[in-house]
Amino acid sequence: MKTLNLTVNGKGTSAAVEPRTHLADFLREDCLLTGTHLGCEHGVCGACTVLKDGRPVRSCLTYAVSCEGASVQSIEGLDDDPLMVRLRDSFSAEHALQCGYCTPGMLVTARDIVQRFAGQSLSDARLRQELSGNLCRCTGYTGIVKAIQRVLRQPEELPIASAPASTLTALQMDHYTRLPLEEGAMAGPAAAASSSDGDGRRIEAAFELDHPSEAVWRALRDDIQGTVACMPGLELRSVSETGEVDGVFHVGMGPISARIAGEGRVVFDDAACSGRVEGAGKDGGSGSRARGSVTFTVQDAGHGRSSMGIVMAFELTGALAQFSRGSLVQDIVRLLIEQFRVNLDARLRGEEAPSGKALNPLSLLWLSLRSRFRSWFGKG
Amino acid sequence: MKPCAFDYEHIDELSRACAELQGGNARLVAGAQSLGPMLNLRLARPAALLDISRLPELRGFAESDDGLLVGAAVTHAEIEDGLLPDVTRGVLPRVARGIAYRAVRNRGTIGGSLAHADPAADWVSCLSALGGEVVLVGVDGGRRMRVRDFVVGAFHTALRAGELVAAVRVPRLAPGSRFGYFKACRKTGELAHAIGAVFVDSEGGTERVVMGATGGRPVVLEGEGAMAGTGWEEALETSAPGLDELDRRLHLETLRRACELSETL
Ligand SMILES: Cc1cc2nc3c(=O)[nH]c(=O)nc-3n(C[C@H](O)[C@H](O)[C@H](O)COP(=O)(O)OP(=O)(O)OC[C@H]3O[C@@H](n4cnc5c(N)ncnc54)[C@H](O)[C@@H]3O)c2cc1C
Ligand code: FES
Ligand code: FES
Repeated sequence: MKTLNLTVNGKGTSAAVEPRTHLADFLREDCLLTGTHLGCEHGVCGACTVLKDGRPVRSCLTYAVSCEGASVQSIEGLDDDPLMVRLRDSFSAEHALQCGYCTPGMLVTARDIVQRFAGQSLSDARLRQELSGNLCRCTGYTGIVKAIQRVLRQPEELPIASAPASTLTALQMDHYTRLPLEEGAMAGPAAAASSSDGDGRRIEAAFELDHPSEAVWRALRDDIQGTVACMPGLELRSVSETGEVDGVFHVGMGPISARIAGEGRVVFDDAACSGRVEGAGKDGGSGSRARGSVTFTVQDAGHGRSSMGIVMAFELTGALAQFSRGSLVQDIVRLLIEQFRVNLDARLRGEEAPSGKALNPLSLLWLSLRSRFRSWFGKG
Repeated sequence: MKPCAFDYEHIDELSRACAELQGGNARLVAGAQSLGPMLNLRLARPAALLDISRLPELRGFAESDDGLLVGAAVTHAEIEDGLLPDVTRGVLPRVARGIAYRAVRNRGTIGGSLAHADPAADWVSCLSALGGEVVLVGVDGGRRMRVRDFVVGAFHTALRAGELVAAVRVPRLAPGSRFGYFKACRKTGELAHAIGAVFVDSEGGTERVVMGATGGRPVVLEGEGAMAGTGWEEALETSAPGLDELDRRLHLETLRRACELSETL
């Protein structure tokens, strides 16, 4: 718990809050101001929009503790605000609401629009752009747009206080320009192609290894734990004689860290030098689920080299899927496969077994430096 | 769903932020407009948040002959409102206005956007085209990187442990240079499906086009004739090989529109 001091609707308030409590929950549960509505809780619908220091913010993406010393106004605090009175009347006159769920957020946004554009003529198209962060699922926007235009077009009725300005100061940052400019060291993309496959995603990649195919196959086949350790973030807890596996996949991408625990099966086809791992699991924290398979094939590429083909097919559901626009996942898988290649290559050369940590920016940087070195030395 | 419990601290000194970032599972938070959704969905579960949104050293700017340093905690709305000296002849305010919605822009920051490295983020593509840089500061000093090098892949940057984005360096654009920007999205204000950006400064000998939101780091083409379009397909094929036919065409068309709509500044 943290002690929080702020002004809510003009009244000084002090409360003990958990840091994870967002402003909307604080207003609704602690201050019993239930006019602030919650729709999506990730910034998209606008129902929770309130004023912080006079500017509209998403109260679902504003933690209450971050409002220390701030002045917060919810829809209740704008009851007697002259501009809000006009907007409310105008919303009634133009039938700009039905169920009212979106209305508190809509009014707070409308008030900000009128303040910012007072005295200007705003086209309906531009007004709709300004309103695009507030979703109304039942009234439709025609009435809402008309209601706001009605107020905008009568600025003479009452002087409209302008939106509060924020301030930025000139800083002393000369020393920054003297810092060294570091060149990027980018890893080239692995040859990966993806396609959507029913509900899931399918990614194919191929790379060459500077080791004969039998050696690669033996290494993969005879030491599953060692192979798995080459895949960043993958950890096997048990492997049975019949190929049943039980493991965890740590996914780290930016701030996201999911821990998908599950079970699967490994099958090898020695004649074709190919293998397949299938499995399904769940991230307990976010309730996301993943299922999928990885098929890999090793082939002789001549001159003591081999080529490895990997096909990954997977399907994600739950919160993780929301952040996994197809092309994003693909870029992450591309990096995973590239790191797998580097690790496998190291292992085949008898170097120290890589750590099974989740993919992270540090190892990525190392990885990109490696590929940079490779290209300098003519091997990439 | 509500976030997992975390500790929270206001940071008022840059050096402290770097020191505290080094150990443990603490994460910086600026506007919380990208981190917030991930926390609320429990996809991110840091032990502590270090709030740098009011850090004075990140809340301002410094203008020089060749450009502008923008503190990392300057918000999109402040840029939209023209609170910075206009070294880009209107480019920054214009791009800022197209980011999300006003309530999000009031809190989301330019530094947070770059550090988050969502391939679809507007600043990533825009600043890659303009030749912008980030200033990275850590416990052992600092370094600069071009934005296009800094973003390594989806949600991945070249930031090291204990390092943060302190400022963003934007070059001063010469009169007569050309800029075009086109963002393809289904709904106003959402993250783009494709971004095209073009910047030409004939006198300075710069011609650069960017295909953004490909899912990975931005695809940048540079040099005379970059705008002509001959190398685009090949660049996309090499740098973003996984795109399907539809996405590939969307990216090419989006960049074509950015060129077509480009204007002399
Ligand atoms: C509904 C919605 C729509 C959006 N639409 C768009 C859009 O169209 N275009 C667009 O570009 N963006 C969009 N965004 C994202 C928005 O622009 C965010 O503000 C921005 O991406 C992140 O900035 P922030 O300050 O909120 O960062 P935060 O969410 O606070 O942090 C993001 C990440 O960066 C790290 N971080 C923050 N600051 C620093 C720093 N100075 N140094 C190092 N690391 C740091 C944090 O640890 C965290 O991992 C949208 C967001 C929402 C909620
Ligand atoms: S609940 Fe905050 S934007 Fe939807
Ligand atoms: S009035 Fe019902 S959602 Fe807008």
